[in-house]
Amino acid sequence: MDSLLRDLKFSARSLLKRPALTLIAIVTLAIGIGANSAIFSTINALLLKPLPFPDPEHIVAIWEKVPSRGVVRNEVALANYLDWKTQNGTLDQVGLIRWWSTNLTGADSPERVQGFLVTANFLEIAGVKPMLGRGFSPEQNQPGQDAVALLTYNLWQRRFGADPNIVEKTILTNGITRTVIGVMPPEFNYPKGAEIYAPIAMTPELARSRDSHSYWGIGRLKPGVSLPAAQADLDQIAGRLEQQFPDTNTGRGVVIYPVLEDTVRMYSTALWVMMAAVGFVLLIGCANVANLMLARATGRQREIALRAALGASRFRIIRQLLTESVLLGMAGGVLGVLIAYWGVDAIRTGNPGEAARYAPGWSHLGINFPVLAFTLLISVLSGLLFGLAPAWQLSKPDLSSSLKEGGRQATSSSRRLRGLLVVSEVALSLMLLVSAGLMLRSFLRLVGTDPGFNADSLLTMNLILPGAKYKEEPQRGAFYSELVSRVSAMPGVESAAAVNYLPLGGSNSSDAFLVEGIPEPPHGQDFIGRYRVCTPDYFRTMGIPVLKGRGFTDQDRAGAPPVIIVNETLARKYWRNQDAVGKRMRFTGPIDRSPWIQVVGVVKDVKHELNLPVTEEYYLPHAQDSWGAMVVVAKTRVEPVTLAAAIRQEVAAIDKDQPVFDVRTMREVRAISLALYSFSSVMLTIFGGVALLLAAIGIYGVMFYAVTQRTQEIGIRMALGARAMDVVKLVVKNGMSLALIGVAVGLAGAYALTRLLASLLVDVTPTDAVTFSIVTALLLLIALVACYLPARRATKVDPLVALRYE
Amino acid sequence: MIRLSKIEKSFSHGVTKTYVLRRIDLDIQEGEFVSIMGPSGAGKSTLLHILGMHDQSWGGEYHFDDVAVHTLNPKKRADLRNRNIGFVFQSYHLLDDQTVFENLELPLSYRDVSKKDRQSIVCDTLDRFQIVGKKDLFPSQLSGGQQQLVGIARAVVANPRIILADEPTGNLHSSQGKEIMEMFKRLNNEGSTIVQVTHSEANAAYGNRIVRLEDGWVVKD
Repeated sequence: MDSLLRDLKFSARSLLKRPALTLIAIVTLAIGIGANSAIFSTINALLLKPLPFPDPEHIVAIWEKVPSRGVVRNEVALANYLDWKTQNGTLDQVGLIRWWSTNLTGADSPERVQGFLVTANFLEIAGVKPMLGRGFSPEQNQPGQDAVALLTYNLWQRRFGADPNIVEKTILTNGITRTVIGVMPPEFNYPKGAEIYAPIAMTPELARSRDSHSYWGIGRLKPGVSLPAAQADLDQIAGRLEQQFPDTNTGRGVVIYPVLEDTVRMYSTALWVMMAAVGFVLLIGCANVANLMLARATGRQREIALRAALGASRFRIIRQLLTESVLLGMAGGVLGVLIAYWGVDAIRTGNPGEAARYAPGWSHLGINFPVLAFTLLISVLSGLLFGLAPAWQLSKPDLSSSLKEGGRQATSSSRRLRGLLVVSEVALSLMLLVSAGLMLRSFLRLVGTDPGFNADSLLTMNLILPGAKYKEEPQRGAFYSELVSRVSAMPGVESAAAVNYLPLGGSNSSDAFLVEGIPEPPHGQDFIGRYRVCTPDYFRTMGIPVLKGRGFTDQDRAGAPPVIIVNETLARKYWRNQDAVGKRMRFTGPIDRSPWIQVVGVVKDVKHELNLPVTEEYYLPHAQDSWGAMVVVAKTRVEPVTLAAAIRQEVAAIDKDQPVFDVRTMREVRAISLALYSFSSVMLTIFGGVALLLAAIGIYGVMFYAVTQRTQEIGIRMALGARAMDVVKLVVKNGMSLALIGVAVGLAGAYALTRLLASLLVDVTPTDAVTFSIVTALLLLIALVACYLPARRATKVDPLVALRYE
Repeated sequence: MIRLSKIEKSFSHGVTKTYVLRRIDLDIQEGEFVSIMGPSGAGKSTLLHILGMHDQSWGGEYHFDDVAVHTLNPKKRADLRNRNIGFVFQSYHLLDDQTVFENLELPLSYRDVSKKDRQSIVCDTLDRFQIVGKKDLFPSQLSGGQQQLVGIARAVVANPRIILADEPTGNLHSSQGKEIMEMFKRLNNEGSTIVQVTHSEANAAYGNRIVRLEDGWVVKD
């Protein structure tokens, strides 16, 4: 213990004796460690334990699947759920959740809150009990008995002032009076964003429905049952249902995923890629510090030889040197924590893709105990990593020569080691830069993608008309018709419209249809199209060109002949080489309920996800299919956001209890839809840039040191006739041969590694030759500059001075 | 061949100036074997490096074959040196990580001699110095005398007209030194001009002219 303390004291003194070198090493390590801690903090919060369940490993997400259409997660039909529930033998509980947006009205101003309709066993599956009151009882899933609600802790605090007597009080949601039966504990808001829960009212019609897919399944595995066993059990049930209900269930299966994997699937790959990227940055940083230590080791040969001559064992020498490097690593860790604080703050402020709203665990993002423990661990590991090679080198001194010559010459093995470090740095940088390059190219492709509409000067806002108040279609039609005409008449507004799902908005609805003149498809191979409902001026407002026929007009009202507009893709698929206008299609089902609808126009394709190909899409006039949840869009002549308050007033003028939410410009909607790509590419580019800088410093440092070591040799060469260019060539060739080996290793590594990025890439293959070439050229150019600078210095060697060592 | 006129070399230390060479006038004819002698610090090596055009900062006039070296820029001086001068060092200064063959090849590579010609010239030189058997050895595998022999071979490989040698036997024992001096004598007999710096009267006796320096002045020629 005493000797360890002495080692520590000596290490601190030794580091302080060379403040510049120590500072460079600490800053280099701090950048790597800080970046790792910041990203680990995100991983820890969002991927490792984001869910508010005591035992998430027993909980599964359950989806339907349609393999023939490549659909691996489809919402669940209620009748199918009921069969799974009664027939399975592997799940303790099976439940359902449905997205529910509700308007909370009453004494305060109307407010749209995010809710979820659930089966009564939802809390049992979650393994959580309400903090106040009780959970739902099974009978509350029956129509007429469902007028109850559970509040989340946040909503209880925010809207109800943490009223301790809230239980049994009533609230007004979407115009329906519900009794509050409980308040959930703090932190419980699954699915993320939940503020209120209500029971699903299972009407007999719903309970029979196998073609309305609106629910997410959730279940709890029986003790000792594995995921594959449960999957096999459900597969059997799905197989039976296919045979029993071929009309609706042909080609439909069921699939289960661990709930954690299912919840974080959108961003887990991106975050693990970030973690790998910062890992690379730290490794490059460690290689740089190891190089510094090796350079310093050359100057310490005499000191170490002296220690050995005085009786120090090799173990003692290595321990002394490793104590120094671990101390240095921990100093880097302390500064790294500060960098991580800043990094986490930047991530939190950036809130990419509204992660704060949608990503469970976001509130835990910060520098907490697990992050500090991780930082300590990587600080010590870094210290050992970069300290080991120099310590090993130094611990076997050639006593006589080291003591005689004063220990100034680098040994050939330390030169080899330094070369190896440079090769590793270049290889790691190349892998990181190629990854960053691929992500950046993907992102630029997406940004450059024509979405099919004009996002300039568009303001959007969401409304959900409560079903209880706006029961009838004409009421909903009239509301939006009046709102759109009021907004259109506002000064600064060029045109206005409403649509059920905004392009790039992330929500979607599809339905199966039939085409006149084309035989009805077999079960499981339905004609599917995206279901859009809009008001007449929608295409003009969004700048979507009507290619053939016409757009909707006020004449397309309820009771008028039903009309439909299709996109180019749908028209091309079903009426190739024909004019789609005038043709007819209808939704599946009995013809008396789904009559033929005439196509009156063909519009340009619109992207609803920039990273996916356009699919078949059709539009119905809102007056003939009046949805309650719509997005109002206004094309403005002024800065769009300046009109938000005025439009809210127009809404309130029609219905003072009607809240408006998610007010955004179309550019913001587009930015949010690209958030995963922009965040990943920006972060990877930053890490790639840091890696490149560190690698350049590494190459420069090694070449600079090599030139210093070879001063005499260069002097001799100049005395023998070498010109400045010969000396430059000598140094550059030496450095570039290391860089080229690094590039070769890096290219092989990148070729293998970038496959892991495949799911994040759009229109770019993981082995994209352009990216590989550009990055290789860039890295070699930087390496060339990093070699050239010391080479230039080498040309300044005065042979007379170099030879004067004689 | 060489005419030095009023060559001076000095170092400034603040306001004071220390002269290393003072008004050196020296003519060296083609085929001479000149020994520069004098006590330590007399300026012998400095004079040799000025002759070898390694030293660029001096005053006076230096003519090499009627070319006014003092008017040439460093690049032209280097060209002139590469064409005409070979250098032998006291510490041999062979490159440790290159074989004997590669060490000999080096001056030729700096004179843009093609690879094929380089190989042939180096082979001839190895043969001439009777060190063919050593061509694949590294300097550390040779004795001091053998290393200096390679050093001389390297100095003559590019066929210079004049060889400058800075105490070429300083690191060798007497029998090895004798061999080296005989090699210089032979080269001189074959037509090479030799200028050596030496402390040894015996070595100087191999030449036909002695120039003595003291405190930077030529005191005897």
